[in-house]
Parts: sequence; structure tokens; C-alpha cells
Amino acid sequence: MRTIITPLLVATLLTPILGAQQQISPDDRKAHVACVKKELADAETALFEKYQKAKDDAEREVVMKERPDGGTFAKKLWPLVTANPADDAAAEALAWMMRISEDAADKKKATELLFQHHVKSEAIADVCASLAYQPSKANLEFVERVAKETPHDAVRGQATWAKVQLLGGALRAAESITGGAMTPEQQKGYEEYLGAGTLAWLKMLDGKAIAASRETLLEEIATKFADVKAGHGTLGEAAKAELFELRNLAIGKAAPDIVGKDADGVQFKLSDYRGKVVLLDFWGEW
Amino acid sequence: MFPHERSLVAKLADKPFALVGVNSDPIEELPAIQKKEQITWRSFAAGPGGGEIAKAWNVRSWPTIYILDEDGVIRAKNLRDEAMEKKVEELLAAMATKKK
Repeated sequence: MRTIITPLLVATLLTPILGAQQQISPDDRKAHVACVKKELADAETALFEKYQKAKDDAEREVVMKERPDGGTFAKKLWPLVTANPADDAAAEALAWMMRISEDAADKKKATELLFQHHVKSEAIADVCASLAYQPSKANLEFVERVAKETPHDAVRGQATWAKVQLLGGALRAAESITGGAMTPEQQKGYEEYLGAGTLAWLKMLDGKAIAASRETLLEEIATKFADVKAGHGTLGEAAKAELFELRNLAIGKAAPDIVGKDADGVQFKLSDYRGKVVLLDFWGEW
Repeated sequence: MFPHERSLVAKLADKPFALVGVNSDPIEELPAIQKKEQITWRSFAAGPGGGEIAKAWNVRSWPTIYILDEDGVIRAKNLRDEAMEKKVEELLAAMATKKK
């Protein structure tokens, strides 16, 4: 009896896993991706709550050792991606895996599959946007490659915009590493957060050359991709605002005046404070 | 942020220094917020998102901090805590030397 039941049982158990991946509906595949992402998010929330409850540094250190490893969660999506790497669910999964994988081989494989199956898709613009605020060599190369290979002008505009953000972020990160504005503990924590690879890359950057190339890229966006939608406005508006900041709000420039009303409705100006050192603080509680 | 700013304002009360805010809360809520946080310095009530002022200054993250010298020239951007305080004191010291 056993010899007959066992293969049957195995086959029954495997069907939902292997068979289902091929036939599962696109909605279910998307739900699957969302579910794995949520598992990681929940684990991170739980950790954060524990961290806040920790009484001292020693306890906090213990809690941080339990930090969920994003790479393990990313690996859970390989069966889904392998079954069909070409649909939207796979694109979403790959973009996420590329971002959070801690295993270099996984990261590379996810990046390659994303290019192989999705570089012509318009959705790759969202992937560029999701990488724009995490400066690293890999992310920069990714958006540069998208800008080069995409057949869509709008995507090229967004990839170029992401590149400007990444270069800006890299400059700021490089400045804060070398600027001496952090305490030694803050510095150590920040360097750990960046990781050895990114840290070495940041230290090698040529700040002047990058600032110049950002300006050129912004001018390119303002002329070639001005009408591409971005957030609440267009890339043209965003690029112009950034160029204004670059040219008029840099260290050494005279601050543009501000005229407005205070909490009591009384009008005043920033220039009323000429003759004093001013700390201008954009703040809010919302 | 507020405790540090409060102590800085108190410490530099007799110096040529001013903290000027640009607030991004709903305009009608600002008086209550200032009271609750014991904010004694003046802010532009710019409205949600920092309105036209934040737009003109291309502010996309909060808080964003600029330090201006006595001539209204931008001397630092986005320094925090000790580094921010150090810069302000440095500029005040430079002003004092210039006067002499």
C-alpha cells in the first residue's frame, strides 16, 4: 500500500505549488507579491515596536540583532518570478527583490530579468522612481541603463530625473560623511547603514563634476521632457525649481526675500531681519 | 527639533540672532500649535505643504534649514543640532569681530 500512496500523496501536495504557478490568475499573482511584501513590512513594524519599548542601549542592540532579513523574504518570490517573469506581478516582484535582496547573486539576477523582460514597459519608470532616493552605484547604473534602452520618451525623462536625484543624494551623503557635522556614533551608524560598497563609492565621487552634470541633466529635462507628468506637476516644473535652487539658493547666494503673514495675520518680511544672523526653518507638525 | 531650537533662542536672546519659521500646517491651526510647543519665534503661516514660499524655495523635505548671515547671504543649509548651533555662533563671532 505504502508504495502506491506515497507518490500519489506527493503529487497531490505538489500540484497546488507547481501547477498553480502556471495557471494562477494575474490578480492572484499580484496578491501573492503584495502578501510577501506585507509579511516583511509586518515583521519590520513588530521590530520597531520592540525597539521603542527597549529600555536601554543594550536592550536595543539585542532587538536590532533580530532585524528581519529582507533577502529571505525576497527569495520567497523566486518561484513566482520563474514561472512567468514577463507579467506585471513579476515586474513588481523583481523591482522589489532587486531593491531589498541582501544576496548579491539574487540582486544581479533580479536586475537582469527586469531588463530582459520589462525594459520596454512603461512601468519601469516606477522602478526608477523607487530607487531615486537610495544613492548607490548599482541604482545609478540601473537608471542610466533604463534611460538608454527604453523606447518611451516619458520613461527616459523619468529615468533622467531619477539620475538627478541619485546624484544629488550621493553629493549630500558624501558631504555628510566628510563634513564632520555628525557625532562619532552618528557617523558610525550612518556608515553602517550605507554599507561598505556605497561608502567607498561615495568617497571616490568628484563633487564638482557631479554638480555640473546635474545642471546639464536638469536643463535637458527642462527642454526635452518638460511635459512628462511627475507627482502633482510635470518634470519641467520640477527641473526648473531644482535649477532655481542650484543657482539661487546655494551657499554664498543672497537669499530671496519672503513676504507673508504670521500666525496673527500680521505681514512681515524675511529682509526685516537684515543685520541679524537668521536661522530659517521650514517646519510643520502635520 | 523644538527643544534644541527653544534653548538656542533662549541662549542667544541678547545676540543679533533671529529664528524665523516657515510653517506648513493649516493656517488656522498655527496659533494653537505655537502655544502647545511653546514657540516664541515668528513664523510665516505658509499653509499646507508650505504653500508658495516652500515652492519658491524648492523645499521637499521637512525640516529644511537655511542659515543666513547679517547681510542675508546663505551660509549653510540643512545643518542639524550641534553643527547648526556651531555655525550660528561662528557667524555671530565673525560679526562681533567685524564691528571692532
